[in-house]
Amino acid sequence: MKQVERSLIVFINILIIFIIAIFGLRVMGEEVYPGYADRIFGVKGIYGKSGEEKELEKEPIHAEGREDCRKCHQEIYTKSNEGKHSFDCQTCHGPLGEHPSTDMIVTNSREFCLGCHRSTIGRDPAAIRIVNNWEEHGKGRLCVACHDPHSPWFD
Amino acid sequence: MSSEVVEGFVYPNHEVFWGVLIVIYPYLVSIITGMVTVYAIAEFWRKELKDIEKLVVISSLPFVLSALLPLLLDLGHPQRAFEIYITPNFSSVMAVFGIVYLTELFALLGEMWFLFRVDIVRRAMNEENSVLRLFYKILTLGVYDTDEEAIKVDRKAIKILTGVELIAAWCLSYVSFLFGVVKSNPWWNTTILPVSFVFGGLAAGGAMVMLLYLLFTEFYRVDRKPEIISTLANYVFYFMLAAFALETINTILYAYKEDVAWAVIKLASTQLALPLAIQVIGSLEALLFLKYVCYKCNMGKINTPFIVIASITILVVVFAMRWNMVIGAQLIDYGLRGFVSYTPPLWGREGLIAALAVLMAPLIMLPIVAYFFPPYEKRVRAVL
Amino acid sequence: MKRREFIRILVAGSATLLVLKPVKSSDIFVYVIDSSRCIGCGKCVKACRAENHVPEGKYRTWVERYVVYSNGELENVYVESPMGGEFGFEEVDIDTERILRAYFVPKLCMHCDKPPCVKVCPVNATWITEEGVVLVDKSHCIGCKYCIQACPYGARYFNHHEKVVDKCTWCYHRIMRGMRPACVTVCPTGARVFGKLTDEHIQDVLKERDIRILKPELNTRPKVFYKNIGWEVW
Repeated sequence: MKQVERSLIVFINILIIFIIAIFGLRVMGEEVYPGYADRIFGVKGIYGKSGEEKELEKEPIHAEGREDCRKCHQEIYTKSNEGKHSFDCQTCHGPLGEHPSTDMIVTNSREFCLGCHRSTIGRDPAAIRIVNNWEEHGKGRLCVACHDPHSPWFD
Repeated sequence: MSSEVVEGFVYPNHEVFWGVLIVIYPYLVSIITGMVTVYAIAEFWRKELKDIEKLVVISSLPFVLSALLPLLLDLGHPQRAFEIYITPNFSSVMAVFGIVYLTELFALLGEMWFLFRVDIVRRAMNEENSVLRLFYKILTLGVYDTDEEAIKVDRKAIKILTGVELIAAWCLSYVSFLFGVVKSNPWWNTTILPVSFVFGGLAAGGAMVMLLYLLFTEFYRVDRKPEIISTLANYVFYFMLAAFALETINTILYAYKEDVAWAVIKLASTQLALPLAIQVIGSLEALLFLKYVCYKCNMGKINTPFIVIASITILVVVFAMRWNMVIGAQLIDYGLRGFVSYTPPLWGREGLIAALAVLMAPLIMLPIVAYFFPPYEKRVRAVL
Repeated sequence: MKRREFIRILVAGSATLLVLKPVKSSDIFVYVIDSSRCIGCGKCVKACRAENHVPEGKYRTWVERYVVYSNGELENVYVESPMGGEFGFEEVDIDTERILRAYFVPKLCMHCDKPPCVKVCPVNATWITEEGVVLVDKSHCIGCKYCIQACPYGARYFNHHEKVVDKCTWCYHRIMRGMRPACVTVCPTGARVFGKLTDEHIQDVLKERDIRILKPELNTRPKVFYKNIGWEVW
């Protein structure tokens, strides 16, 4: 029986060490594990916060909407509000980002406009004004030459 | 990328996420199950297999140790792997597997200790090398009595540990639940999958034991016993038959029911022509050879080449089965409208070289374990 | 007396253990997609990529085009999503006369009420918040990819640079600041509608009868609802 006792003692000791390690690491928090292990491998992580907090650290790149643009661009805001293009500015202008310090770029090519207005299988004419003869209509000219992108007119 | 769209529409994020390493992982695990089951058969039912029990125990240890390797290699952040024990999610099969794995490991180590205790004590007293002597002295844990009484207690402890180990090993085959519980994949989402998985594993483990028996008897110059081969071959035959039958039934049922997924599964299996062919032809061939080996052994003859062919075929066939299950199911997209192809890369962490290394790891570890705990006394042939 | 008290404590204790799951508030978020309004411009995919730094070739949201046509036989369904619809859609080689119906379907994480991905994560690195949003903790994820396998909607992807799993968060950092998700903000036609379950504009949509969820047979209880889509979408 002696050998059984001895082996059991060894086993229980290993078990206790294992459990202490688990709870110890849990108590010390994730700065320790996986924090240290990650740092050895050169992985950068955010530790010691709840998962929701980590997610909230991210800053929005897109502004909430038109109302933010209105602060400086009141004129365009009112103009587009009355027209058909009354959706968000960032749809065409791209994300706001650090806007006042960086420029917002928008292409005025035909392809850009036709990305939405070309007739395509699956595109419902009730949802958007479709240019059916887009290959012929205003050929060789930019769309914005005739149509104001902020308040396009229709016949 | 190692996977690309072949036909139909595939969700844009779809890839073959689990590559060849996750094929090897259930493969190794199922071999463990088979070996442990062979040990339990020897311990509880078939006394003629007593001769190979030490062999089975020492050779399952390297397999248990290396079963973790493919998993660790496959993880995106292997350094965080211990999180499975620190913050486990018990509704996850993978977290539960971590606990089952430890149970298996400790049961096996305990069993090994009780089985080799007499040898350890003897070597702790007689070993000439002082370092080795110290090593064995530590291993005795300070218990040196090897009389009748103590050995009886040993046998009892081994019996209990074998029971624990058997349960743990079958629960290890529970890794097939890892695939079975994924309800999004129709190929995996069948009740029969865990069962056929276990039987395939039993066959592979038995075949591995047969191979190792041949190897060890060759190395230690021990006489081979036909009844051991015969009993093993018989078991492996029925396990293989069950595995093959279950896989076939599963496919036939699926083809007959012809639900939404079948159309794409049928097409995707063209990507698996080779492993599927290996699976079917190899199974039949192995069954035939095994029966012949049994027949020969019952007449007292050992047909070594046939045994080797049969066992290697079974090992390859079971590998092909795992490949079909793991890779095949991932080829089809969850949108059930298309499938991708998969060719494993040669280099890299998830490549073929790494996979081969993982497959070889237990066989490399085996001589080391066998050096410390030899299953047989080496018989020195008199050289004149 | 003493024993009874003990039993009471025991029962109460086990009851609290069973109900340890955080109680979800009624203020859960809901997402509604009106397929008939989607024009397949891909602005949402672009906006999402910019907002969440989604790596090349991976999509938190994407747009699919369904074209159902018939060459005299029963309906054929053609589905495509070139580059996730980010750069719009090309013409398809199907005779317009033969097309029965065609429409765009934006897809994203369904933020299921019974998420199969959360159930299988071995380390609790993904969870469902009080607001009903399913999130991933990048500094916890071990990268086992099990959740990707479990997701029936293909919404999760593996970030090969950071070696972790990532997914749509409904722009959690935006919605908790009172903003709308980036994809909803930029949608020019209002095909994507987002709000709390109790909001009026959401309630109006949910009262309609032709509202659908995807793969209801899997019992994942998605919180993304679809309007005006056919049987062929799943």
